[in-house]
Order: sequence, then structure tokens, then C-alpha cells
Amino acid sequence: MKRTGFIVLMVMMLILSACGDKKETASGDTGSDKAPSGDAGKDKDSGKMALKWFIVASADAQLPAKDKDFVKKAIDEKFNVDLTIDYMPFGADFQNKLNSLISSGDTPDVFYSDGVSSNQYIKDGVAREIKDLVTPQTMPNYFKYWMTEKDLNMYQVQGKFARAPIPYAKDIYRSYYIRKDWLDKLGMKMPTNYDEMIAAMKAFTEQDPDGNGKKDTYGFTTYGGGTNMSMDFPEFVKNGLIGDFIVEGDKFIDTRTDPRVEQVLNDVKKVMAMGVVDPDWLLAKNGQQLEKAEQGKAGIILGMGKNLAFDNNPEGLQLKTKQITGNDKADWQPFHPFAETGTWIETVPGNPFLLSSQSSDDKIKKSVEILDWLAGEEGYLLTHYGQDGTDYTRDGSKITINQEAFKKDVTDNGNFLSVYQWFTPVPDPKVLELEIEDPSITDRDKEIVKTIEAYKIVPSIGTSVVVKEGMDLAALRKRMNELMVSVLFDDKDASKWPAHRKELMTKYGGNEIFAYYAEQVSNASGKTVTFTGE
Amino acid sequence: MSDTTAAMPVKPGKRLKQRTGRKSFWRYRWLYLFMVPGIIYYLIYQYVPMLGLVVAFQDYNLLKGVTGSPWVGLDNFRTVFSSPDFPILMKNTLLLSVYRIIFNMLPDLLLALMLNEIRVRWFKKWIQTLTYGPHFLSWIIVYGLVYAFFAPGSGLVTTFMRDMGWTSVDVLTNSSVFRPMLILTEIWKSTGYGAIIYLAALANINQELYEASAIDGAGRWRQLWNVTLPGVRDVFVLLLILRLGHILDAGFEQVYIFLNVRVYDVGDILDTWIFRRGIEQMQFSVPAAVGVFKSMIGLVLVLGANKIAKKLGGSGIW
Repeated sequence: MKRTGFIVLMVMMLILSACGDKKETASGDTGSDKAPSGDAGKDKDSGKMALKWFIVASADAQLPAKDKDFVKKAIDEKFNVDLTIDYMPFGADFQNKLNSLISSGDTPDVFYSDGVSSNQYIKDGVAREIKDLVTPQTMPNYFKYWMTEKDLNMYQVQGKFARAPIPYAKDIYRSYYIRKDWLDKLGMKMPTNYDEMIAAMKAFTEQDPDGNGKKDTYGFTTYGGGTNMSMDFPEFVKNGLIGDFIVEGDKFIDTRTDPRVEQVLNDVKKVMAMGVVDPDWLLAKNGQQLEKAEQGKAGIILGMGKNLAFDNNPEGLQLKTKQITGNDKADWQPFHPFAETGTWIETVPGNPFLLSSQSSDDKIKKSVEILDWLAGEEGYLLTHYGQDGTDYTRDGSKITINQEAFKKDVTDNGNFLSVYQWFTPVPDPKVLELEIEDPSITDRDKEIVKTIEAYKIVPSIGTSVVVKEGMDLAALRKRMNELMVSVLFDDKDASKWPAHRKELMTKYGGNEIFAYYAEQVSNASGKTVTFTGE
Repeated sequence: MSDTTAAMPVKPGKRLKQRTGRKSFWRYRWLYLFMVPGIIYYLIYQYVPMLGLVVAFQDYNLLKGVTGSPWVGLDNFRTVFSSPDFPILMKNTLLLSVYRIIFNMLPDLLLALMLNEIRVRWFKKWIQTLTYGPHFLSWIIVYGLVYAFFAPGSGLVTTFMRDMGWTSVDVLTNSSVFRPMLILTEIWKSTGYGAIIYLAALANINQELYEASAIDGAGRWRQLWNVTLPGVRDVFVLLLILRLGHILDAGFEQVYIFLNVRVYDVGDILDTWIFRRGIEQMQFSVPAAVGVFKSMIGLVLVLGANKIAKKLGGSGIW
């Protein structure tokens, strides 16, 4: 009796857990409701191989129903697969979801990561070795247009060959944007230096630029996500701290822990004391600063992306501000107080894609083929401009977008192409020797691009760096953020920063971490670079 | 039954017992069957996962799994207890938990007592529905509400106070009010729902007791003290014991959502730390060690509290 009871119990347990598994795969995908699971990875009905990718996408993009997703259709037919793409905006939630998938043994075949955490996946063996998988033979397009073997070699860490960068845009469209119409109203001119920028912030706060009779606007807003001081504050660049890391002479500088941060903090404290910075900034999440700007509550923000203030970009600052505030004269124009001396650093190979070590070789091989197709002309055109003949027409190397069809097929379908653009997040097709003719681009838009492209960009450290084994960079950054914010909000001035820096360098291992970074930069550049710690 | 015993004279007592055991099992087989889903649930979701606790004694590696990861004895516990964060985490967790026990159990009881005194039925029902409504909101929404009211720049209350020329309130990013804010939002969210169980206990009190005490000349307060409160005492103690078992869970979801860089010093608790180490940094062994530690403390407290409750004349849990 006892034994039979036990057996019955075990059987029921098995049945239950099998049900549980099935449910998990079904809820794990967003795009397709038919995600066959199983060891062979083959769908019995269609004989198609099921692939699962986990990638980044902007918050406003969403994949449509299967019949409207012409990219999925093209990929599935061309490669005889059933591709399921799961996507999220990059950030803590992305990381947490990916980590949950991996730790529950459900690692996606292909996944996106950032430089630091990819290290962890490589160390844990979650990412497979790709020496024979990512080569000019297996990925001809990737190497033809986007990547050199030398750069790929330099991108490797831990003596393994396990990650490869996503193709990246060499141009940087990082700029401050200002409400030109507000400036005009107050009789001011475009700021060209830091003092004028602060003066504009002050006027925007105090002189009621929107004319509603209330003092409800701020000069500047940004976001801290509840966790950190924002690098959007122009005071970093003002004090020569540009980007995350720079090399000055033969010194390696980690900009956020540098001694000059004392001056940065003092400057920011001064601006905050003037009351011109939106007090919500610390708790605001990424995106909320743009919402404030679109609601006409702030006059200066830092924006990324080439088309942020384009006239006809439906997700952009310019159009949304007009729609939300009902003010047709709203006019966001780019400017940078340090346009002449350096606004940001050159891009280094950015974030990598990784291939799962747990997936079957067939699945990985197929995924690599699809990735290379995305990087090639056919994939690029389909994922950026839609279907040939309907959404755009091609004449030699000239691409002309058919706006109406594009709006109907793409923009109104959750702007879904931007999900597939994760692998080629480069808005300009000039790498492919193509030229884009987009009738929605106005002269004003072209002027914006020209302004931003004229900004001076300073050289980067030239390589991507990895954290020394056993060191905890996350703990250092967390403590650093805590100290910075406490100086900003609780202290009289930033005179405690040198002591804080000492704590970060000694107790939190900054000395070793950054000295190891400097070593890597030395190896990559061939000249000796050192880090001065405490 | 007697035939069987006679045929087997050896150790009749034991046989008999076994027989009756089987027989009664068979007789109540359908009732036992009812238990099966519950038992399976506990096996799968509560007992089997406990095996995972062994990673607390390993240097756990994702790919090697539980069977392949090296054993490290108590190293993970040493890491935890020697961490500079640990005393602060422990203090925050305990304080918050104790606050929660005091300031959540008492309002629940108080509301139940007040509702119990209301004689107008429709009014009582209305109040009850209104008060337990917020229980069904998620913490994300509650945070959204608090943010809408108290955001330092654009919050409704903050703007109003500023416009009136009063002092500016700083609720979300102020160490000294962070814990009270957590407690107050929880009171708002869960008091109505928490009162339900006391209301059930109150409904169980024999009405004759009230009549008898009224005849003896007891007023309302006297009745409350001598009839009502003793009537809910057992439920109160039961809930208290259960809560003590979770004393090192200080409400992860709420704290994680409300936490920001300016209140780390008072708001960072064991569970948020576990989350950071475990999910954000993919280190599983050290957080698992903290989990084991938490469970041990909980177990000791539940056993202790149960014993004390019994000694003081109550019934305890078992």
C-alpha cells in the first residue's frame, strides 16, 4: 500500500512538473504563441528549428501580430526556422530577466549584454567559445561592413574568445537641446558657453517662459533612476571629465572617481541651490526627463540619437512637445557649451552579443547565419526601411522611403522594425554604400545634424576594458553613487570628496581595478599609461 | 476482525493495530485523496526546493550545477558575517520588522474592534469594502501614488506646500522618515484586509457572554476588556507567532520599490541585498547562506514563541 501510494505520488509529481515546464516556455515568449520546446528543437508539424533570442529594444517598440511581422516571416522562410524574439529596454530589469532565464536553465540561444556583465557570463561558461563561429567565412557581411578581425581580437577577455561586439555607429549624437522659442520670447540668444547656459536655465526658471503666469518651469532636468548622480550635468565636461574613462598624457582617468569630482560637485551644488534644476531628477527614471521636457516643464535637457528633435519623428521630442503642450511654436534646438573643446569621447566597440553554451550546435550555427544576414544589405534594408517596392523604392544606391506605406506597415505597428535593428543600431546606411532619401526629413532636421556633427569629440581610451578577477566594481560604483549624492544633498560643500575618494580607492578596491584598466590600455596602445590612486 | 486475530496468534496487538489502521485508511480513502493535491503542492514547491539550500555550502557555478560545484563548508557564512554591510543590514531588517509587527497588528485589531461596534449594517459593509480595497493594489501602484503626491519637484502635496509658503516636505528621499513612510503606506494598504481575520474571530464569540455581562452590569468598555479581547486573544497570538517566524523578512517587494540612493543607510535590508547579489550579480552561494541563516532564526523564534504562548496558557500553533 505504502509503496503504491508513493508511486502514485511520484507519477503525479511528474505530470505536474511537466505541465509547469510547458507553461514556462509559453509565457517566455512575446512574439509568437507557437514556441515548440523539446530536445531536438524541431517543431514536429513544420520541421522548423525553434530559436530563442533575448535582445534589447527601445521602450516604445513592440512586435506586431505574426501576420504583420514581415521580418519574422522573411527570416523564418529564408532560414527555415521559427525565431522567437524576446525584448526589453536595456537596464536593471533586462539584466534581472536575463539572469533569471539563465539560472533557470532557459538560456536564450543568442543574447545581448553589456561589457561588464558579459565578463561574468564568460567566466561562468554561459557564453560559448566563438572562435570558429564568428569568422570572415561564417559571417562575411559582419566583417565586410562592421568589424575587423583585429578589433574583434582586442575585444576578447579572460584569454577566451567568447564575445563579439554589436555593429555600432561611429557618430555620436549626444547633445543638449534647448527651447529656442523660449529663448526668443525672453530675448536671449543661443548659449555658447557654460555661463550662458546657466543664465538661460535661470531665466527659464524665473521668468515664466511659457507665459502661463505660474512659476512652474525649470531650466534643466535629467534622471538619476533613484540611484546615481547623472553624467548629463554639464559640470563634468566643464571640469575636463569627459565620458567614463579618458587618457590624459600618460595618466588613466576614471572620470567619476577623479579628484576633480570635488569641483564638479561644488558646481552642481551651486546650480541646484539656484533652484534651476528640476528637484525630481534624482528619483526620475530614464525617459521621465524627456516626458518633463515634452510637457513643457523644462527648457534644457540632454538628448541622444540623431533624430530626437526631427520635425516628423513621431517618438521625438519636437513633435511630442507640440502635441502635448499644444504650442505650435515649440522649437527644440541642439547646442553644447563645450562644442569647441570636446563634448564626449569617441565610441569604442560597444556592447556584445553572446551565444549560449547550452544550445545545440545546429541552433547556434543557424543563429549566426541569421545575424550575418541582419548585418548585410538585404537584412539591413528590410529591418530599417521595410519591404522593397512597398515601403521604399530603390534606384541604384539611392533609397527613397514611401512614407505612407512605411507609417501603415511599421510606425502604426508598434514601430516594430526598431526591435530588429538591435543588431545594426546604425541609422545611416552609408557603411553599405547606400544613400537614403527620406522626404520626411526637413531642412531644419538637416541643420540639427550639421550642428551636432560639428561638435568636437575627444579620443577614447581605444579599447574595451575588463574588471580584474575577484574585484567588485558594482560595489564600488554603488558606494560612489551614494557618496556623490550625499555630498550633493546633505553636505555644505564637497570638501569631503578627497576622503571619499580614498575610501573608494582603498576599501572598495579602486586602486587595483583602475590600475588594471590602465595596464590594459597600455597593452592596447603600446605606450605606458598609469593610474594614480590613493 | 476477531476471526483474523484468532488465526494469527503471534503478536496479536500489533497486527490488530495495523489492520485497523489499514481499514480506517480504506474507509476514509476519499478524504485522504483530498489531501493529495495539498501534499503534492508542499512537496514540489516547499520541500523539494529546500534541497537547493546545499548551494549555501558550495561555491556554486551555474553550469556545473549542484552536483558539480565544489564544497566550501562554512566559507559563505564567514563571508556574510565578516561583510561590513552585514551589521547595518541586520539592524535595518530587524527594526523594520519589529515596527511592522507593532504597527500592523495593532491597527488591524483596532479596526476590527471598531467595525464590530458599528450596529448599522450597511455602513459597516461600506467601511469594510473601502478599507480593504487598497489590499488589491500592487506596490508598484502604491509607489506611483506616493510619488505623485510627494515627488520633490512636481508632487501634489509638495507643490501645494511650496505654493502656500510652508516648509518643503521631503518624504521619498529622507532617511529619517523612510521607515515611517513604509509603515504608513503599509497600514493604508493592508489594514482593512488584516482586520478580516479578527472580525471572523469576533463573530465567533458567544453572544450569551455579552448578555450575561450586561446583566452583571458591565458597560461597553468592560465588555470589550472582559469578553471581546479574550475572545480574539488566541487569534492574535497565533498571528504573532507566525509573524515572528518571518522576522527577517522585512517586506522585500515594498522596500525594493521604495528604495533609493539617499535612504540606503536605513532602507537596505537582507532581502534587497540578497536580490542584488543573487539576481543582479549572479552569485548564488552567498545569498543562499543568508537565506539559511534567516530560516534558522525564524525557526528558533517560532518554536520559542510557541512554547511561551503555551506556558502562558494559550494554545499556540500546535
